[in-house]
Order: sequence, then structure tokens, then C-alpha cells
Amino acid sequence: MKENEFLDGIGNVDSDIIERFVAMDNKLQKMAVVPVSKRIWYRVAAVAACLCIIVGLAFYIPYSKRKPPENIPERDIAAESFGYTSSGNDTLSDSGTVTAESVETPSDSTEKPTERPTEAPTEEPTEHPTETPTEEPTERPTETPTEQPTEEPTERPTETPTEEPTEHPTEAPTEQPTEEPTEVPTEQTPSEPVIVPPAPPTIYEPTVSPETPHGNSLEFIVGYSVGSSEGGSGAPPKFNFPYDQMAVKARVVNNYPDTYYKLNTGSLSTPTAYRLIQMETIEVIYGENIPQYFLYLLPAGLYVDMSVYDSLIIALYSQLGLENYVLKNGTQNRMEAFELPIFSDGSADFGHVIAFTDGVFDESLWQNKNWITGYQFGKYYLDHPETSSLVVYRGASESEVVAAVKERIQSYFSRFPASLYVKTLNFKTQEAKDALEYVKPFENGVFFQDFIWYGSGAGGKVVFTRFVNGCETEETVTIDLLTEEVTYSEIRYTEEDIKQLADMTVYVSEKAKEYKENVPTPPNADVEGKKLLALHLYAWYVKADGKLYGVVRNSWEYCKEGNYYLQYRYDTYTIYDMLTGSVADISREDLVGIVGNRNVYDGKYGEELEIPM
Amino acid sequence: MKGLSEYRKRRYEMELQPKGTSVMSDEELIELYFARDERAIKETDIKYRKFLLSVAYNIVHDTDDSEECLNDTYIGAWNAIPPARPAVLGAFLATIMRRTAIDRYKSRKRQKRVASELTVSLSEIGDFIADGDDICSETDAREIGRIISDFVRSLSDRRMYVFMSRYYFARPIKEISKLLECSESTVNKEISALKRDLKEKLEKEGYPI
Repeated sequence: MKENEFLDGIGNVDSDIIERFVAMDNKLQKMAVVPVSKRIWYRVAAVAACLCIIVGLAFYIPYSKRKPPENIPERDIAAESFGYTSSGNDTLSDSGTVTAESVETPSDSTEKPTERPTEAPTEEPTEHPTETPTEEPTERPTETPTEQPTEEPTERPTETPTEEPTEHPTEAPTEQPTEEPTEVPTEQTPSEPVIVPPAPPTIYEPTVSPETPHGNSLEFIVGYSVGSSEGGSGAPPKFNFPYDQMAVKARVVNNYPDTYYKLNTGSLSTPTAYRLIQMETIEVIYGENIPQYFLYLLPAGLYVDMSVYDSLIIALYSQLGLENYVLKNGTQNRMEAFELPIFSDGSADFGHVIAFTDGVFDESLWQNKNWITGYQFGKYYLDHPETSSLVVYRGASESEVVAAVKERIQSYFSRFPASLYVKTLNFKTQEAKDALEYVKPFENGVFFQDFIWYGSGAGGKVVFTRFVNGCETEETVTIDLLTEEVTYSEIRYTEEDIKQLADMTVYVSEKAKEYKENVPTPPNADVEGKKLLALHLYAWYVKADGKLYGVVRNSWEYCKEGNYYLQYRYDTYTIYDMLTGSVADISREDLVGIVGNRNVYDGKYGEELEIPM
Repeated sequence: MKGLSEYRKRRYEMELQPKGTSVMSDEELIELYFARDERAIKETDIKYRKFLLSVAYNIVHDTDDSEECLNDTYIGAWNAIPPARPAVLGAFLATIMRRTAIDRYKSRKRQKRVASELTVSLSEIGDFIADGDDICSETDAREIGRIISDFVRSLSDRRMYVFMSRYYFARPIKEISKLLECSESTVNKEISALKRDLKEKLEKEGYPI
């Protein structure tokens, strides 16, 4: 074999092998940073912590057998409604535990054991080894860094979730209870404490836009997102709980039954269908400003009913939006805005969610058919614990896993300090408040929120983009999250403008229907020897020189026959003049001259693009 | 002295990323690429510069060439994303970097022998790899890639790590032994065993040695 053959050959090794290597290399590189002597000290510290737990237990167990006080303070509902925080930047969360000592809500599953209230006291010492057993906070932390909802949570209508089909392989509830048990034990001796039943969780309903979308701004005729088709970056990410993200212990409060879509799908990917879940934080594992309730957005293909589990440890992998995030409800065909911060995770099936039942790791969540792709990797590590770097193992208790997650996250952030906190729209300056008022859901039309965060050192921004008839415009309102500086785009759409805008999605739908019957080829393009990967239409609005236009782009993506990694791109454009109602094909150059280069491809058409393997 | 200043320059570059710099997640970085935000390159540089430079240097053994390869890698990533949406950005970038560095290595080798770690690692398997500038056909390269992929998949994590470190990323044995916390002779023994097994695999697949 020649040297070049070997070099080129090994360069063609499969991408999942490289990913496996990079994952292992990252781990080894990080371990190498910590001097050996320091690692020994970490181990000594771990042994010392275990001794403290044992000594603590020796004191606590006799203490716990004493009579509890007769007067149990009432829960402070107002303080509980928002804004639990871990204890500062330097530590994991020891405070901010939503149900540290209270009776937990029997929740949505009829299977929930009533003995759960006794779990909390026994769990406490193992989760908080540095606390003395006598320390039991009687009041919730009242520090709420974000603005509280102005209404009492109990005033909101609580919608009973409808019957949810579930993939859970073990016996699962098929019907949600319609009311929470309110009875108090009738037989009490004078020395028995009065058990106050917890308030039912608050279920947040969306604000609904009066605008009814008539179609889609993006229609695929052939193919999907090119990045996800065969030969693309198909190798899966590593299977493990992330150690560089916020994390909470939570439970499901509500599975919204409808399918949702983001508005800014971009113009090269098929819109992903999502399912929305409302969760309640039980304990903050890492992060600040974690709300009591938050939304979790899962691709519909990954959706599974997690309300059947007692608790879940979730990595809050990516904060998608702040409050008042707008989504398109695909089932009801309407725009909805949600008051809670929203997190999104397209890799939940790769170990980002860990389920527990009766305080023990429940593997069945990972075994559901929607997560089988990730589970086969997880299963390997569960079957071979000697090779595993997972935070869980079969039979692991919830407290062990919480401790393991905390240790891993803390270890990472001790070397790469960063402040992780849930961002909110709780602005202080009048300028920012006025901007929020302008983009308030559906008061002045539909504004889609795009939250961009560069990191705790660099800050970030939230960009609200106006959408009309489901199509993007160039009107934006940007608020800097650190300085609260507001920037309005030069172009603004008035009510009069919006009335003049014809619905471009109707045009897109008509063209898509035509193309599906007869797939066109790009004009003046040599497509011989090329295979069509994708053809799609994308529409948007532009306001230029006081005139209003709609633009539709036809995009073709080809690959060389037999070689997915050599690709070609072609576009054509059509412009719709709102004043005259005329529709005309237009060259890229002329289009840019009239309306600028937003959404206009600036590469060479027909040029061979090499896609790395 | 040139060698010493080269070394110092290289060490400076390798340590460029200051401690405490907060880095974006891969997902956030990829979204910047999709948004065609030029910060994508800057943030990629903050997160991956050190790693990518080490990949390049092990192959081309020259700081300036490594820098040029790094710039070419960033351009390659910018052009590829979108439409590509890599699952693991680090691996994606490493693949582009390696390919860029290998091309440079080959072009410099035509002029003179390159005193890089890649040269040393190839000489270790000199009993079944012959020197030669013949161009490898795409089909052959894929076939060899498939064979090597099958071979690597059959290895344990540790052996995979040694093999890929040495023959894909051309890392020095000293560096591999330091990361695995073992002696260099242990790594050498493992490499000998891997070499033998790879040769056996190639022969079994009917590949002419």
C-alpha cells in the first residue's frame, strides 16, 4: 500500500469514530489539567464528605424520631411562584428546593405512591451533606429576581389535561385525575401534625393571536434539510448527561396536546414539529434564577409522556426563549405566546433526561421507541459499567445521581468559570419596557422572539422580528440583555402597510402544488449527471423606498450523481409588487438592487461545493 | 535558535485561550453559522483554536503553515455550514483541518522531507506502507476508509484512542502517554500490537500489502 493511499484512506474513516475520539480526548485533556496531587485531594475530600454524612446520620436519625412541632407554617404561595436560585455563583443549589420539606403533589399519575411525603426527610441528608440535620428551612426564599406575575396563580383556570396516550412500557395511567385529593387524614391524635395538602400545580395557558395563518412561508417539494439527508452529519452525539449546562430535578405538570412549530425555521430546513411540556422545578441542581415552572420543547419525533415518572433530572440544554415566546400551533392553526421561559432540546434521547420512579433510576424512559437511537448507546454503557462514564447505573438512587451530576458540573465549572442563569424579560429601564410593550404578544401584530446568548462574559440580545401572514419582514426590535439598549430597525411596518400586504403563503401554496405535479429544473443550469436533493420555496416581505414587496425564492440543491459530498445550488426569484399587484421573475442582481440582499444567496450558482464528510 | 523561537511561538499559540473564557455550546455556534453571523468564526476560534492548531502542527510541523491551515479550516466550515449541521462540531472541524493539513504536507513533501510527527508515524508502519506519491483514487480511499473504520470499531476505547491519536491526528507518543497516564514504552507496545492487527485486517480484506 502506498503512503498516499493510507493517508487518504484513513482520512475517509467514518465520522462517528472521530466523534468518539474527540469525546474521549476532551475528557482526557480536562483530566490532564488537574494535577495528580490535586486529584488526590479531591478524593480525600470525597472520603471526608462521606464520613460527615455517616456522622450526620448518626445524629439525625435519633433526632428525626422526636415529635415534630404542632404548628406547621403555611406554604408561601406567592414566594413560590417564581425565581428559585441556587446559592450563588460558586455553588450548587442547596437552597431553592421547591418541595424541600413539603408534601409533594400527588401529580397527574394515579400510580404516585402516597408514601412519597416521607421520602423528602430521608433524602435531605444525602443530598446536602454539608447541612446539619437540624437545618430545615421553614420559609421559602423570598428573593425573586424577576417580575412576579401580577395575578395570583390560583386565579388561572386550571385545565384538566386530556387523556394522554403513553409509550411507557410499564403500566401507565390512561386518564388524568380531574381533581387533586383534598381530604385530610380523619384520625389524628392531638400530637399528630396536621398534613396540609399541597396546592395543585398551576397550568399556564397561552395567549392566542387573532391572526389566522393561511399557509406556510416555506414549502418543500423535494427532499428535506440537506444537512440531515443521507451522507450528511448523521453520526449521533455522545450519550451522557451534559456537564456544562443548567440542570434541575423536575416533574411534568402538563403535556400540551397540540403540535407546535417555530416561526423562524430558516429557509433551508423543513419545519420541525414539536411538542410542548410544562414542567415544575423540584430542585435546582445547577443554575440561577430557575423558575418554578418552565416549558420544555421536544421534537415531536422524540416526544414521550414523562408525567408517569416521579421525577426527572433534566439538563436545561438551551434556553430557546424568554417569556412571551411565540410559537405556531400547527394543530389549531394559530399563533400562541407563552408566559414561561422555554427550553429546547433536540438531543433529549442522548442522556439529557434521566427518569426516576420510587427514588430509583428508571431505565424505561430511555427504552421508549422514540429514543431507541440514543438508548442503544446508553444500554451499552449500562450493560458495561466498567467502561461507562455515565452519571447513572442500574439501580442507582435519585440522590446518588443528583450528587454525581452536581459533582460533574461543579468540576467543569471550577475550571471554566461561567455564570449560568435563566434569562428573563425583567428589564429595568423605561426604554426596554416600552420596547416590550410594543412587541407585546399580538397587540401590534406577531413578533417572533429570537434569543441569542453569547456567554456570561459577552451577554446577548433578544431580537423580535415582525411576521405578517406567517412570513418574515425586516422589522426588528433588538434589546441588549446586559445594557437594555433598544434598537429599532429603520424599516417599520404601520397598520396601513400590513393591510396592503397580500398573503404570500397563498402564492407559495399554489406554486408548490404546481411543482409537485411537475418538478421544474433551474433555468440555464446544467443538471446532467446531478441528482436533485431538495427543491423548496421560501417567501418573505420587504419594504423598500416606501414600497411594499413580497419575494419568493425557488431553491434547488443538487449533488453529483454517486457523490453526496459534491453539491450545487441554484435559485430563482419572483417579486410581488403590493401596489400594482404584479408578479414577475427577477434576477438576483436586480432583486438585490431593489430590496437588498436579505435571504439572497451570495455564492456562485452551479459551483461545486465540497461538503466535508 | 530559530528552532527555539519556533517552539516558543508554538507554545504561545497553543496556550492562547485564556482560562476563564466562557465558550459557547456547539449548538449556539452552529446557529451563528446558520444566521451567517461573523461572530461564528470568532467564537469557533475561542473554543477550538488550540485543538485545531495542535492537529495541524503535528502534521505540518510549521507554525505559519498551521495558521494558514487554521484559516482555511474556518473558511471551509463557513462554506459548509449551512447546509451541513454537524452533530459534533469539534469532530467536524478536526476533519476539515486534518484534510487541509494533509494536503499541505503532501505539497511540501514533494519539495523536501517534512520533519513532522506524521512522517514519524508513517515510518512506524513502513513494513506495509511504501513511500510514493501516487494519487489514490476516490474509490480506493473509500474502501480503505471502510476497512480502517471496521478495524477501529473492533477496538476498545483505549486502543481506539491510541490508534486515532497516532495515525489520524499524528500525535507524538509522549503526548499520548501523558494523556493516558502511562509510560511511553507502554504506548509503543500498544502501537506495535495495533500495527500488527491492522496489517492482518488489511490482508484478510484482500488488500495488497
